[in-house]
Amino acid sequence: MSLALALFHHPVRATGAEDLAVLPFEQLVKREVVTGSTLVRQISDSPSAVAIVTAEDIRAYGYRTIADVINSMRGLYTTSDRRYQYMGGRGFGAPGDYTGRIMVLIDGYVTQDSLFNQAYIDESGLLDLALVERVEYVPGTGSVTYGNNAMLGIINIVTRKGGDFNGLQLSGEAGSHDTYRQRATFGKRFENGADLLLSASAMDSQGQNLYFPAYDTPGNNHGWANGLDDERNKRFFGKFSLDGLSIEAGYVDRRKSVPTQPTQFSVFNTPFTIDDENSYLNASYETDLGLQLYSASRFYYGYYAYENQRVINDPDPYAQRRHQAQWWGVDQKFVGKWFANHSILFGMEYRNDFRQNLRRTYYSSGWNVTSDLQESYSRNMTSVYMADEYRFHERWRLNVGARYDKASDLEGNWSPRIALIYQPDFRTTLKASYSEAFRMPNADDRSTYGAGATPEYVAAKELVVQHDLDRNMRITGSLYEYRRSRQQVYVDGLGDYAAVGSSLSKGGELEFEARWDNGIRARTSGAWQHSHDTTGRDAVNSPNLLGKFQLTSPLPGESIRAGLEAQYLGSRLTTERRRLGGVALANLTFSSERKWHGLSASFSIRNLFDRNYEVVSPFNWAPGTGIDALRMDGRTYWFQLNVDL
Amino acid sequence: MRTLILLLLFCFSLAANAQVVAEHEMKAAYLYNFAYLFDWPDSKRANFHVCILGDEEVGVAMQSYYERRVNGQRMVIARLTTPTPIRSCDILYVGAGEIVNLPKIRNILGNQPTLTVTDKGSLQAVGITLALEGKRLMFDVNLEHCERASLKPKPTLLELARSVRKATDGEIKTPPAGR
Repeated sequence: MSLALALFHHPVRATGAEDLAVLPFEQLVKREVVTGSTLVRQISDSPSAVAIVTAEDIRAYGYRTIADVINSMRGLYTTSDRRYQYMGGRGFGAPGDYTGRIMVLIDGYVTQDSLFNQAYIDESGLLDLALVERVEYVPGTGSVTYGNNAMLGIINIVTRKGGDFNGLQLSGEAGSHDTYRQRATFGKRFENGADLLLSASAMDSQGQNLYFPAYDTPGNNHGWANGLDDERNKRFFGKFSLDGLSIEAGYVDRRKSVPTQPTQFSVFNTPFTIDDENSYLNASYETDLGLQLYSASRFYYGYYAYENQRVINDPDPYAQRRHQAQWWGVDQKFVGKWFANHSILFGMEYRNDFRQNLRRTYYSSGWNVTSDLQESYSRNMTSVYMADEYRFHERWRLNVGARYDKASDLEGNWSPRIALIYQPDFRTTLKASYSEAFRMPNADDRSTYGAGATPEYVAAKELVVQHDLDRNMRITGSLYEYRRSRQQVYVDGLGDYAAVGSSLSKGGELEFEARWDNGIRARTSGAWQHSHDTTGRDAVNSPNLLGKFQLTSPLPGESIRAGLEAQYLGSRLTTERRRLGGVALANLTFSSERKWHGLSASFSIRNLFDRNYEVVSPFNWAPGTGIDALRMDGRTYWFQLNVDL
Repeated sequence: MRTLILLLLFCFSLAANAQVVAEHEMKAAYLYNFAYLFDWPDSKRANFHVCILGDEEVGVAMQSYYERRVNGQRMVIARLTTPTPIRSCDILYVGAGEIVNLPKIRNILGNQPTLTVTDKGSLQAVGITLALEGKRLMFDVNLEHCERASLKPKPTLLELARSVRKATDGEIKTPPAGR
């Protein structure tokens, strides 16, 4: 048959489809069909193995922040220092490294602020999880599509539609440590197809009196930080869409007290508050220009403000930081489908970080300004990108792409990617890819490293196998290697930082996922990673082993669902190269399976077995005292009640 | 590492004996056949447009039929993201992802000769619906809708349909195909 095909000069086709095409319709209708997988399908057609958490999972396992969602994903973990949650995986996640070498997107909007390139994944994040439809984690560098920062991968958050709520929903939550949240959400889909979603929420937590053995001296209140763990936030979100048009805006203001002593200059057990404010507007229009050309246009605007107040160990005892940033950008993307076997993506983006202000003010004991330091930066960036997915055989695809980013203060940079995808049958996919990504120095880096602030690079190789055992079960395996270069390291001889560091991470991940028709879902994964840092030694806060296990099932009676989650965080090194032992944690959630007179509820127990455990802390100002580790919370409870009006 | 290699081998061994038709491939094959099983009004266009909206898998499977000839026209596959250009479609498959836009699609098309095909939803608004019954892919024909769109199904199509809805009598069952 292939010979005949060659003679007729047809493009190469696999026998399966060829059979179907020549089969008379009378016989075709008698053929047996195998239905598609019941497992959730990925939206992004990425040459990597995507992990997906849906709104269903969020409910079943009682996730409250994006950090909880990330923690449940294969090969990822988060670390808290009681200020922020930091994310790690695949050798990324050095202590204190803001969640920034990964890109976090909300409906296509890049959420990183433009001062620290931090993505906010805890209560300082932009979204209530009740508004999230799904979260996709796309490992592997993403600079070919998104440019700056997408070194480890991409986390793509898709919000729910107004039609999903179809009315007004009120929600109340109560949890351990006097934590409360109220939320009101209104959603509607109109006759003409327009969809509206509006939501507002407020969270308030008293927190705990915390004991830190590392600070236990008589002058330090015996290591007790009292009443310094409170946290509150306010969030607003709105989305309107009609046909291809979508306008979306979000706002969050989170204020947190810092109970730790992050630096030697701060004074333990004194008021120290941080305030993170983030907001954005994202407007997009997508349409098909004729039958073969898809177009997506986007405008975005972002605002970030940071403020902290603290007491310092200085004759002028009060310090304040007030940083602000604003940016906007436009992006025009096309996908041309002019040729049967090519999908050609191309476009350009312009981004203007027109305001990047860093301000540090110091006050005397009488609150007179003694020093007021201000720094201003700005940057604009023009990028062009192009990628082609070439289906050169029914079972083979080649994906080649590159993006060029030129920032006003830096040399232009190319980020290429090449991927080969093989689908021996509709249940199996193999992907091999090589890509390069980079991260530009942000305003904070420019302030810290001055003229030495230069981009950092990563080259990644990945091999992925995905196989559906049947329509209910899937196995995913991946092997990867990330080589990072031009990292900032302190050079003793120079007495300064220089971008000469390089590091290497290798690892493998294996995941099993199942979703049965009786409502039972399970997912379990193991990840092995081996990372060296810039000194060539084992990387700090990079566990060699990570395990995840999730099982959810309706309980007898079908009205309540139980969700059990277990996570294993392998042993890892602290900044002082102490090894913290591995820890297994379990969470249990009960949620109502269906609504009763518009009521639904959920109850979670976090750290079910009340395990005592420590995580690596980013503090290094007092070696030998144990400040390189932080004790985390024991068992906590959380209850949520929703009313649909 | 060894686990992964084993997994790889396992996948290949499975791939070797896969001789089944996936649902999306079958749907694409049906759409291809529908092109032959209707008398289309005379068209001046050089191309015959099969459009896929809201189902990437069917869209990709449909690519195998690119440039085949239908009644002297060249078959062109359009994988669409939005319903904007659907007036140029001869066959329009609306996948699960765009089913909510069906009223709008119907509005745009009016009575123009476009055959609309869906998986779900009422037959009322479309020409053909596909439905999985056991392990067979069945289809129902809405003759009333086809007539309004000046599309004339060939007898073979009506014979093989699970059901045919006529203009006057509501629903009439044809001899059941399969069980």
